[in-house]
Amino acid sequence: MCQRDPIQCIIPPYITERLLRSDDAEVRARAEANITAAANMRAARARGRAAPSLMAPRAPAGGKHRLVYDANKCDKLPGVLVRSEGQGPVADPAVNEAFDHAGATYDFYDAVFKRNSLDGDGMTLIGTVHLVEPDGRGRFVPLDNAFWDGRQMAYGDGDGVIFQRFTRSLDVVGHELTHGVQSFTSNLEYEGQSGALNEHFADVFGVLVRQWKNGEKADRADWLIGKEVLVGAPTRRGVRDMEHPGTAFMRDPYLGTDPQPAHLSKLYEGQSDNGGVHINSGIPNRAFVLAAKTLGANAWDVTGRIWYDTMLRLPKRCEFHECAELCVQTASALGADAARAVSAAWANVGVAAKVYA
Amino acid sequence: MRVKFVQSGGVVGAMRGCELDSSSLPPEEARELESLVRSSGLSASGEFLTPAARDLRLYEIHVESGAGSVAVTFDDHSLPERARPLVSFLRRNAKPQGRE
Repeated sequence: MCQRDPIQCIIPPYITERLLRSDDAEVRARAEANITAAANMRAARARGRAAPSLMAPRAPAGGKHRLVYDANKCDKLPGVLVRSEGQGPVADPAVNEAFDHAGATYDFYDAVFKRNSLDGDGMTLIGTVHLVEPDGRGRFVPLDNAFWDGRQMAYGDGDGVIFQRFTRSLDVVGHELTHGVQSFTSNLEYEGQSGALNEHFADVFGVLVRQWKNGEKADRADWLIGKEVLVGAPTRRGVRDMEHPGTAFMRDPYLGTDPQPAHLSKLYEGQSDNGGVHINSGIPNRAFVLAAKTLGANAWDVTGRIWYDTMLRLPKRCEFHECAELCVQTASALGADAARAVSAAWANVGVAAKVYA
Repeated sequence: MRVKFVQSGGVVGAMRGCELDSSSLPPEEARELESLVRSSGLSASGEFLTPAARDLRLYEIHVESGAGSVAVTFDDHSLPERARPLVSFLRRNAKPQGRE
């Protein structure tokens, strides 16, 4: 049974002040301890906002270090530690998937970009599986989602009708971990076009982890994100199709029709989804696939390198055209053909970017 | 009382929502909706999002009643405990939404 721990609650200041005047010494001591804990928490949050790396637990040996927790049918993170670096597989497939896919993502960034974990400094990769959420009727149900909370990944098991456990998909795990990489690099603001770029880079490196792991060449790769997290049905193939945005699910009874545009002319301008961060990412996603297919071979080698270097250099708040220009500029260092291919890919989705001589 | 609800975001990014009018709901559902809105504690408009998190689901709730109008946006982590039963009710009534 998942219960809330009152000690972890933030007690309003007026109650704390009253408790400090209590005749009971134990109550006064607890109130003082609460003031100290609250001050420490506020300070830690302020440090975290200023420099996320200060919040990052570093691997003991400075290399790959994974910790997987089980939420134990609770909605609190991180849960109970069930597998650590160096330990073998356990009976629970969700634990092993979270562990193995985090390992593949670490290995990908290390081998392809010489990046030591999310922060570039051996940050421990923490994931929690079997996360649940309250159903509003006093019970807990499996979470239909996976997310990055700013310090760790969290995965639900899905409802078993539409969604399956989110750890099944290597590209979804790679996606969540790339949000971690971004929080230590460009830290693109999570709204509007900069938010859509944040989602775009998470999809790019999520799919590249899978292609790298499976040895899929760009011309034969599939560009679907999250096909393993969906229960099979004729109305859904994945959660996003990077090559053909807007076609991952069609007239699905639960998901509806994929809202992603494939061209800037169809940009979503509504307020939902932080201004369409998961919607408008379809535009740069398609540009990436077009560039990767033109440049050929392994998408992670050339196109992935261009996009990675671009991601590191982008300002926190930027729009598609700024990203496209920086992409082309980065590609220019690899030669005129690369620059032309990248420029043409962005132009194909309606984003003009100058080719640098 | 009229309530408009949109769920968006999450790693999947699908949009779902509903518009409910207590005057056109069956009496029992109308009472439940009004009771859930009252107990949700939603009294002031605003956007309450968790800055460092990514792929959380977002919930937009717009309530119009005799007491006035309130429009709020929460994510999975900022959603107040008292508002969870209302959001669960709205999620059960939600259907896939097209782009606006």
